[in-house]
Parts: sequence; structure tokens; C-alpha cells
Amino acid sequence: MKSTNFLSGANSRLLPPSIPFRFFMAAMIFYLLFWAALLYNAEDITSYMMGSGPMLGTIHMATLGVLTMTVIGASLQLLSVATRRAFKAFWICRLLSWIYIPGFVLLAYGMFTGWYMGMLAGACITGAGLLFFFGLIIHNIRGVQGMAAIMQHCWAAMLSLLALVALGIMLIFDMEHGFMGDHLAVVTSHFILAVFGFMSLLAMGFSYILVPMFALAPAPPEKIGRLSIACNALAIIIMLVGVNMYLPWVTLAGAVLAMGGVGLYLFGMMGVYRARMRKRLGVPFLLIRIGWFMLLLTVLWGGAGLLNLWPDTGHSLFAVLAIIGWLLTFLTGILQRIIPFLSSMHTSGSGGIPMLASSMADERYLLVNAAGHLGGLFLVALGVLLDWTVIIQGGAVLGLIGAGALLLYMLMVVRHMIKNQPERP
Amino acid sequence: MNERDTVAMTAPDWFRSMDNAKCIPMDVRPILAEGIDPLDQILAKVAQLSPEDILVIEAPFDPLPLRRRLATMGYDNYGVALSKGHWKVFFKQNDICPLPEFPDLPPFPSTWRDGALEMDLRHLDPPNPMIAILKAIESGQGGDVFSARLMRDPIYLYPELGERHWRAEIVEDTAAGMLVRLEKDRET
Repeated sequence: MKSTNFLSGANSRLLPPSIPFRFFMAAMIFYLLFWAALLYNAEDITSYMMGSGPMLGTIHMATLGVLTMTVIGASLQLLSVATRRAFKAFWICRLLSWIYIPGFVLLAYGMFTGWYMGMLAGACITGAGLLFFFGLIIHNIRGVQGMAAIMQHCWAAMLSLLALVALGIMLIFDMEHGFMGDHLAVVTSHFILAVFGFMSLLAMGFSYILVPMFALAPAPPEKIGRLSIACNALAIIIMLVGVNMYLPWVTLAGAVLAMGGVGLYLFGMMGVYRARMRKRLGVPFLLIRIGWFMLLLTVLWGGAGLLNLWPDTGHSLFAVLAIIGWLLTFLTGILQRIIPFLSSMHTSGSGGIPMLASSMADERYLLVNAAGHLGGLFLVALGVLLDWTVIIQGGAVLGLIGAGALLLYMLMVVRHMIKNQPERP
Repeated sequence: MNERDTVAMTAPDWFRSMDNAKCIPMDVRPILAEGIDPLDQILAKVAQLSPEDILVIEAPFDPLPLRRRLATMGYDNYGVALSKGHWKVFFKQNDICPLPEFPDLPPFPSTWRDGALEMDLRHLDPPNPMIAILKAIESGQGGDVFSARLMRDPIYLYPELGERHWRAEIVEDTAAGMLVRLEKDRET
């Protein structure tokens, strides 16, 4: 067996590394900028409800800059292998980055400075990029046989994406023209669709492949995933109805259903964790497991809010738990694992065998990242709860250090990958 | 003369130490002489064998297709040419390589083909095919060489194989899936 055959076939289904890595690199940079922006705007976090300004930019730095960017990079690579439909026209994937990344930079700049036209233009370009992404994914998953639970998560997430893009652009338009009857209800709907509809559903859906793959465990029974997505998708619809028709009990019913969906997802993931063949999962899985805990906490805290049990800063804490606690923590864990894993696929060690992921960069950077991120999360959540700016600023500094460590790690991995490109026949 | 005295020292251990009382003879020469294919009768006989039994087929030629067929069903074989038109072929259920069992994975077909395990993982959703392969490696149930039928190129498996000093080669790639041969790396 010739060593050059080792990746024969694999290369045809792997995207060129520049495609997923440009999104991951951009996500890392915006991850750093997010913590910096949080440090700068720490004073406003507990009082912010809606409207343009630095806090709006800070939130979107996390959601569009880090989370969506990561999701795009991971989706393109993961789906092309899982559905056996490789994205053959690489220029389309590259074009997506050329539309989405500059569009988001303009949008974020507009949000930070309150420049309406910049915000609107940025939103339209970013929205076009997301619609482009929507088209790519739908083209890829349409008619796929098997993986029913994962495909259902993708479909629900993509439909949420369509709705949230439309609402997002309308919200910016409304800032100038004020045509909406209830801006806050639409903001809440946009938040539900973005955080729970689009990003959470994709994160949960891909978990059914990625988590067993990284932990080396059988995937959870498909019926768990199918039941979970049914509960979660229905919960989102019910919550949207409740929010927009001012029916708190309907929103609460949706939240209870979401608890069921999240509970099923976590039950499936715990099963994977218990059945794993790889006993030492390292720092990434510490983040992933804390992310799961934060997801549970987010749903419970949301339920407490609907029962009017929140303190004054409860809404801000909800956003912190959902965005930093659940999504950023979970996806940082996935990124910590996926970056060296994917890059090892694009390298060639001795005998043509991919290099060990652990040999590509100093893993202590991952520990610094995890410590900074988790310390930052804890202090920001505590600071928000106590409405104490200095604590939030301390948390942001820790997060900034952690994000810097992950960016350095990524740069080292990429440098290693470029140096050890396999020979092409 | 006992056929065991005539064979070379390369005969398998089970043949050299076999208990004649466990031999189930079947002479297919009269059946073939009548122009009837004896395969169905042989398979019916095989289905009745216990793991210790040894099926002894007498035939006018070396029945290679039958030997291959029963090998895929987990039977070792050993043939002796007694004369120009008289062969005796001994079949014994392979008791050193039972088919692997993975109770925590959805069921999938597997078989022994030419002495090597072949797992058909085409109907499993990812990442279960990869997990089945790694379980076969880590449990030692796949031996040092085995193959897997897959619907997807197992690209995420390759780094895991590398870490375990195993190699993979796609030996067949058709619309019905691909056959991947996995082998322990002897260079390391």
C-alpha cells in the first residue's frame, strides 16, 4: 500500500484549506474584537435593550462575527463530506467570504458609530452573503437520504436564517423610518430566530456528527435527534407567536417545549459522552460540556424571566448566558478541536500519514484560551447580575487574553499546515 | 493410507488434529454424475453443522468455487488430491475469528471473505462507520487487515488511523459505495 494513496479520494472531498480556514480565521479575529468591544462598552451592557450604538455592534460581533462565521466554515466542510455532495465550485465558496466578511465589517462599523446608511448597506451586503450561504446549504442538503435528524436541524436553521435576515434589515430600516408598531417585539423575534433558531439549531444538529466523531462514540439514536428538533422547532414557532401576540402564557408554553427539546439533546449528548472510546478529551471538551450546562441554564433562566422572576438586569444576563455561555463556549470548544483536526488532514507527516493534531502547535494556548474564556464568562455574568461595571471589565480582559491565545494557536497551526503541505502526485 | 499422512506439514492444525468422529462425509460425485448441481444440498448440510464438526466433501475435482463460498461464511478449508479424479476437501467452522459484535452500534452485515473481515457499513449514518472501524481495530476483532464497505470517503477517519499506525486504501469506488482496505502499518 503506497503512502501516497493514503489520502487518495479524501482530497477530492476536502475543501481547499483556504476556504474553511478563512472563515475560522475571521471568526478568531472577531472573537478578539468582541471581547475588546465588551471591555469598551462594559458600562452599557446592563442598560441596553435595543437601538443602534456600540452595544448593538458588540452583540453582532459575537453573533455574526464569531458564531455565524464559524458555522459557515464548519458547514461548508462538514456537509460536503457528510452528504457526499462536495462543493465543487470553490469560487462560489470564496465569493461567499468576499461578500459576507466585508459586509459584516461595514455593518459592525455602522452599528458602532450609529451611521445609518453604513448600517443599512452593511446589513444588505451581509444579508446577501447569508442568502448565498442559505442557497449553498439548501442545494447541498436537498434530497439527501439518511441523517434525518441532522437534515431536519439544517432545514429548520436555514428557514430561521431567512426570517432573521429579513427582520434584521427591517429593524435597521425602522430605526430611521419608525414604521413598526412594536420595535421591541420584532427585536425579540430577531433574537429568538438568530440565537435559538439559526445558531443553536445548527450547533445542535452538527453535534450529532461532530461530538461522537471527536469523542469516538456511536451517534445517539436518531429518534432522540428527531424528537428534539421537533420540540425545538415547534417551541420557536410558539414563542414567536407568544411574543408578537402579547400572550405570555403562550411564550411560556414554547419555553417549556424548548426545555423538552434541549433536555432530549443533552440526554443524547450525555449518552455519547458515556460511550466514548477516547477517554481523555482534553480542553475542548471542557468547553463543550460547560457550553451544554450553559444551554440548560439559559433555558431555565429564560423560563424564570417569563415567570417574572428576573432581577432588573435579568434580560442582559439572559443574553450573556445564551451568547457567551452557551454558543460561544460550545463553538470555541468545537473550534479548538476542529482547527488542528482539519489542518492535520491537509498536512503530510512521515510516510504520507497526516500529522498528529497534537504536534501542530503548543496546546497550552488552548488552556489559556479556555481559562480566559470561562473566567471572562463568569465575571461578565456576575458583573451583569450585580450591575457592577468593573467586574464586567475584568471579565472582558480575561476573555480578551483567552481570545488572543486562541488566535495565536490558530496562526501556529496554519503556519505548520503551510509548511507541511502533502506532495501532490 | 490415511490422507493425514500424505499432506505436507503446512496443513492447518485443526486438520492434523481432527477427530474422525466429528467428520461429516458427503460424496457429491454421484450427484454430479447425474448432472445435478450439489450446492444446495451442501449448503443444507452446512446449516446443520455444529462448530466442532468437519464437513468432508468428496468430489471429482478441486471445488474452488465452493471453497471460496464457504470461506465467506466463516469456514476454513483444506483440500487433498487423493488421485487424478478424486478430491477430498475438509471444511471447519472458523473458531478463531468470530464475527465482531458491536452492541452499541446499529446492526450491520459483516462476513469473512478470503480469511479477512469485511464489514458492510453503507447503511450507517456518520460517524458510526468510522466508530465501527475504530472499534474493530481497538478490540482486535478485525485482525491486522480487514475491509469496510462505505458510502462516504472516510476522510475524518484518516488522522485517527494515523495515530493508531494503520493505513487505508480505497480499492473500489462505484456508485454502490466504496471498498476500503485497512491494514496495520508494518513500517512503524
